Amino acid sequence: MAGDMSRAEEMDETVAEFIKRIFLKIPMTNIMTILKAWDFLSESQLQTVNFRQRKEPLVQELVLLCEEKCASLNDAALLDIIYIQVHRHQKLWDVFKMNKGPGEDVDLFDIEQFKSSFTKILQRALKNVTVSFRDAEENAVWIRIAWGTHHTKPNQYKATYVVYYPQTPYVFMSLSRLKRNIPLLDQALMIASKHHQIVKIDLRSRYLDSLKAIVFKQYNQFFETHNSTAPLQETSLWLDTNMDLRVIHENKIEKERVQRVTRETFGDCPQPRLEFAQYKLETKFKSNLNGGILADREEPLRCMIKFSSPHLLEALKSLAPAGIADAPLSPLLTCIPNKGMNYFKIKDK
Amino acid sequence: MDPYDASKLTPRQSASSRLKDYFIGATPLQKRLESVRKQATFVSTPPRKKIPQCSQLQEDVDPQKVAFLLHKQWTLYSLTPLYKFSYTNLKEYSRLLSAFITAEKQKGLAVEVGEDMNIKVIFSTLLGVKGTQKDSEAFLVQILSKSQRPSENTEGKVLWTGWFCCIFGESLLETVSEDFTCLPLFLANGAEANTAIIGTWFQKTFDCYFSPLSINAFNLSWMAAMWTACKMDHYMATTEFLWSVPCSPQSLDISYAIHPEDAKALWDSIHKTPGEVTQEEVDLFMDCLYSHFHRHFKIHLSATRLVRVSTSVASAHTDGKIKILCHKYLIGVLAYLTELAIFQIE
Repeated sequence: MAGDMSRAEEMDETVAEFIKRIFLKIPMTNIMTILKAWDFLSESQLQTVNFRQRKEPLVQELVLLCEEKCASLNDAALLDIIYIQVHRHQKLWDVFKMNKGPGEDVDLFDIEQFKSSFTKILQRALKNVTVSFRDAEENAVWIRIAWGTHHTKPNQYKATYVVYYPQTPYVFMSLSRLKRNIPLLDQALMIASKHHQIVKIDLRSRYLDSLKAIVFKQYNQFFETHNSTAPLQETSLWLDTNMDLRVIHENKIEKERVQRVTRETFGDCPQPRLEFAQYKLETKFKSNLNGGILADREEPLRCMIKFSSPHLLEALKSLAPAGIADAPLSPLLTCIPNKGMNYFKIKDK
Repeated sequence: MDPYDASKLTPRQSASSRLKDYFIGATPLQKRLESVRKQATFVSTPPRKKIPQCSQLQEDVDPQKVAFLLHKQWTLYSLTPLYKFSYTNLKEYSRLLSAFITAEKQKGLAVEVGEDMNIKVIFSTLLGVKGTQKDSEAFLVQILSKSQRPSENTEGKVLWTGWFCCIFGESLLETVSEDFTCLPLFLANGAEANTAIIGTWFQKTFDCYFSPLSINAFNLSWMAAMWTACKMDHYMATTEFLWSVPCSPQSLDISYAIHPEDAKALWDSIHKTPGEVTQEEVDLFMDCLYSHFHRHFKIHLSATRLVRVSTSVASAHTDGKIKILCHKYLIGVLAYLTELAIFQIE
């Protein structure tokens, strides 16, 4: 088992502290779910616990039970992975794509070999590192790495979390602030999974499931299929409420056109959830207003535009119907799910 | 003390009513009040208003003395003239306000976690922070935590700062008698609770009225244009605008940052009359930004709400928050804010 320590007769104090801090972070409503998923404390042990008491005494009791069973660092690391799995939106996830070399065959993927190879590479390089794995839905492998150096023990509180989908070239990472370990992590991933290159793509969000939906192009089927009559109802509702009898025919046609174009662009299903999109622009200023402004200037305007919203794509979708934007909206915005990017650099051709 | 129920009157009415109360029969004042009331029914500023460009204003403020005013976020208020305020009584005011704050805190009216009950209040004048000689002298109020050990002479930590100033406030000066001191612009930094206590004391002591000063999109655009127009040796910050889009159910914020040299180049290309900024130029500047944005994103920024502007000179937020970054244009920035404050009072 990776990074293992022999089970001491007594639980290590640092492990106890680590477990305690994880338990304290968990909201009361999730404690049972997480304990069950962890499956470390036995049924009989859990039955002795009063889950209605206040959090601090409850956590103390749970930690004592863990001591009874001599929880190891690995057990604690597993608890940590489960915590992050349940609270995945607390981390910011970056997306990476791996490429096979030219002519490399698609080997049969051996998960155990991957795990063993990955761990060995890190251990050889750093000596002090804690690596833990947990399999999850849809064949995903969650990896947790706590980093140390040749001389220092791993910092359990600044771990990196990686979610790898072995049948795909995609890896999602929540990078801790210890940036110096990134090249090593990339190496380990590539070698263990038999890829030749790893590239960071310009997509980042807290919503891991949305990122998945975007890169795996699942956003049209991923969410529940809609009732096909719903869009028609939507349109007529929109026109009927606040119907001003003075609204002339042309206006009505334009409103219908906007609705139709918006639907075509965004689809009818709920959009994947992203919080922002950022554009670095270096384009010349072109004015069709009082001409001549900046006409002689060769240099482009250097701009950085950032769109932020609790649910960016839904907000963008509502702009044209609200009259704030033209329909169709600019492809710079509508391409976000298709291209799987939310960071862009735009220059004049 | 005040016979009027201020809540029933708008700030403008209550302020001028109180003034009127003291000066019944003062014809010039009544005439002035009448004309001011007539003006207030117009839309904010006439379309061709000219404002002196920042670089022309005098800069005889000692940079060291005002350094602490820079790079801090200040919350803005307008303040009606202070009745019977005297610059010779500053020590007395320090004492009275200290006692008032301590009493209020003991009452438990303002509870700040971990706050030291031993505080000291200091009133001091801010020399040079004015537009003309006619402007009243600016003054500063600070709340400091008092050192626990009486033997130590070290100054405590500054917990709260507020300052009062008037830059080119002639229009307000004309409306009041000599018993009043005009310092229409008030800036505060520190806990909201402290601002409230201090505001209460001033209102009780000098029969004045504080009102939060918000900055609308129109004025934010003017600020952006004027500050972009200022000549800078080097730029410390990017020029940035923030718009809030009124879409539902999800909110959307659009931040638009432009390299300050490019913003200046755009402005220079638009600007015609040296030393003045006109409404047309401001509108054109904003329109250019809007059209550049629209060309790329097909979104009409003009249909959204401008909420914040930020330049190397200063940054301002619609909620009435300001941060001044450049001492060279300190007076210029304060002049515009004083104008907004006076407009709100009148």
